[in-house]
Amino acid sequence: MRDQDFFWEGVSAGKLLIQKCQDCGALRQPPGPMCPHCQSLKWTAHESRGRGAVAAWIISKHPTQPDQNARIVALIDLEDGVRMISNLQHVSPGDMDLGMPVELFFAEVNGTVLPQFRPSLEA
Amino acid sequence: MDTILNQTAIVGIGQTEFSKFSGRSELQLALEASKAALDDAGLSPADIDGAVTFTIDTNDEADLVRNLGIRELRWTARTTGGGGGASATVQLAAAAVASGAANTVLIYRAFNERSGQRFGQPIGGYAGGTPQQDIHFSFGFGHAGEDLLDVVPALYGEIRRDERGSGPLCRHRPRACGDQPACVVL
Repeated sequence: MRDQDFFWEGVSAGKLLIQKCQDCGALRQPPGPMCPHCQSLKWTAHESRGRGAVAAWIISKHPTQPDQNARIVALIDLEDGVRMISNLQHVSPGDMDLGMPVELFFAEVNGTVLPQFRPSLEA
Repeated sequence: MDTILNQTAIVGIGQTEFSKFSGRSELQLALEASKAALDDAGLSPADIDGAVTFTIDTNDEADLVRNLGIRELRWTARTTGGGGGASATVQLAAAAVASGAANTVLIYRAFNERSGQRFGQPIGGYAGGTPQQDIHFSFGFGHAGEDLLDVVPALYGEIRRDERGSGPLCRHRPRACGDQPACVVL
């Protein structure tokens, strides 16, 4: 009954799924029951290729404890046409840049498999 | 003299079905009811510029905006608790319209009570108390369980004739606990 269940079922299957309105075709992310463009409740799951570009990012560090593993939290412009928030790995904060091409991969973070992004290996 | 009464109007009302197991999230119920109210009023989501609900509602205003397609909320407010606060949500919305803070206010409330949280076994503390108060009221005033059926038409009528001051909408469930009346929040 949770609106985001399909997303996590997709992650379990190694897929990044995005809701697609069955009536007007618009994609939406994060998950929600209703299409904001046509108010339809009918949707299907669109599998993203997981390619995009960095729209914005921050370096997240624990505010009060030593934190050697600061995380890059990034807003990703997916080529599908929606944005999602995720983490960037395999890149140092100093090498981050706006518009950097990135690609999806799945990684275990504190015992949970999450969709993550890394600099695109393809030119 | 201009009062809040002649400066404001309720222009649409919407609801979902009332069910024991809705099978949908509370957000979806809120969106379906909101869409029904907009259709009733002949308005679109872009016309809404204010929103009101209870403090105990789990649906964040931003989620209503994001899913319903509201373009910009200028004003939001929540009234304390739930239950009898229903009238206060209308009062808040009317005050916003009369003052010019907003033009068209969406009042929403969605709840999977029986569907989401077992009746009579409150977890948060607010889901189980009022039915017991209803039973107490019913027996205290010498009413049988069937009398609670009368509450429902009253709620759908022009005014709520309910001396309790607060409490859920009620309907009779004969088998819920023997012959005693029981209520569910709709």
